[in-house]
Amino acid sequence: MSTTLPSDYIPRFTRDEIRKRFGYFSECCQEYLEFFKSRHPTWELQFDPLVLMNVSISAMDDIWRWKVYHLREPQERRFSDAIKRATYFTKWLVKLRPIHFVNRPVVSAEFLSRFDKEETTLLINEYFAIHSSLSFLATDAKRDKIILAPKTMGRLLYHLHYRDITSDSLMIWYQLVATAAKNELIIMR
Amino acid sequence: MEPRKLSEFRREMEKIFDAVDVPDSCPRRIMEASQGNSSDPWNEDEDHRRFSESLPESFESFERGVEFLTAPPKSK
Repeated sequence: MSTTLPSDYIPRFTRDEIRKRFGYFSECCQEYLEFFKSRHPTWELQFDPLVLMNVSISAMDDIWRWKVYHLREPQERRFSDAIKRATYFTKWLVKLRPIHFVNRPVVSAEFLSRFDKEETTLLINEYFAIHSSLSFLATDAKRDKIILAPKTMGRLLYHLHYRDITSDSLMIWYQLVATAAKNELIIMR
Repeated sequence: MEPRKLSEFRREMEKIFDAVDVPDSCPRRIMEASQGNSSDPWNEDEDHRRFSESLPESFESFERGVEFLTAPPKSK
């Protein structure tokens, strides 16, 4: 088979690259669950590595497709950036939902005895996606952290959980956060 | 989790990844022929540091964000 390829050919991510991202997200996910456990000891949360693997493969396939079909400058299109990572990992984390509550009781008495009225586990995948994405954007903006205002956080959680938010919408949303994080103007007046 | 345990955990996860036998979507001969690679300028260590260090403060924003979402409407 000929191995002559166009000069601007962009290879897909290799298995080793996907493995590395999966390893990274596994570590973050474990740390995240332990943090939740420290705040809410009665919540039994767990992530499924097979689902997280599916997230990593799907997000990186999306990033590759985006690079291939939407960027024109050869030099630029070789690479993704923090915004694309944030966008596509959010898309797949929210869609495939690797984190779940373990053994939630289905007998009412037991359920009620363990139920925490302040529980927020329905939104736990959305928050993991947001927090991971903001870490990418913070590194890119050379800031120690990006913490969303609670109302903004609430609105984004709502949209990710209930609305049909597309990748392109997510990309512009993260672009706005990145712009604000770099102290660039979004509105003039 | 302390860093050593976390890296042990990661090695376990990577063993699981290897056991699932994810196919290499980009054969090596293509990688070599393209004279480049598909890597992105991704600074994993810096991202991870920010992930860990900002979690407590970000968590406050999460819980307050949920309160905002679930707050009853204000009476006029």
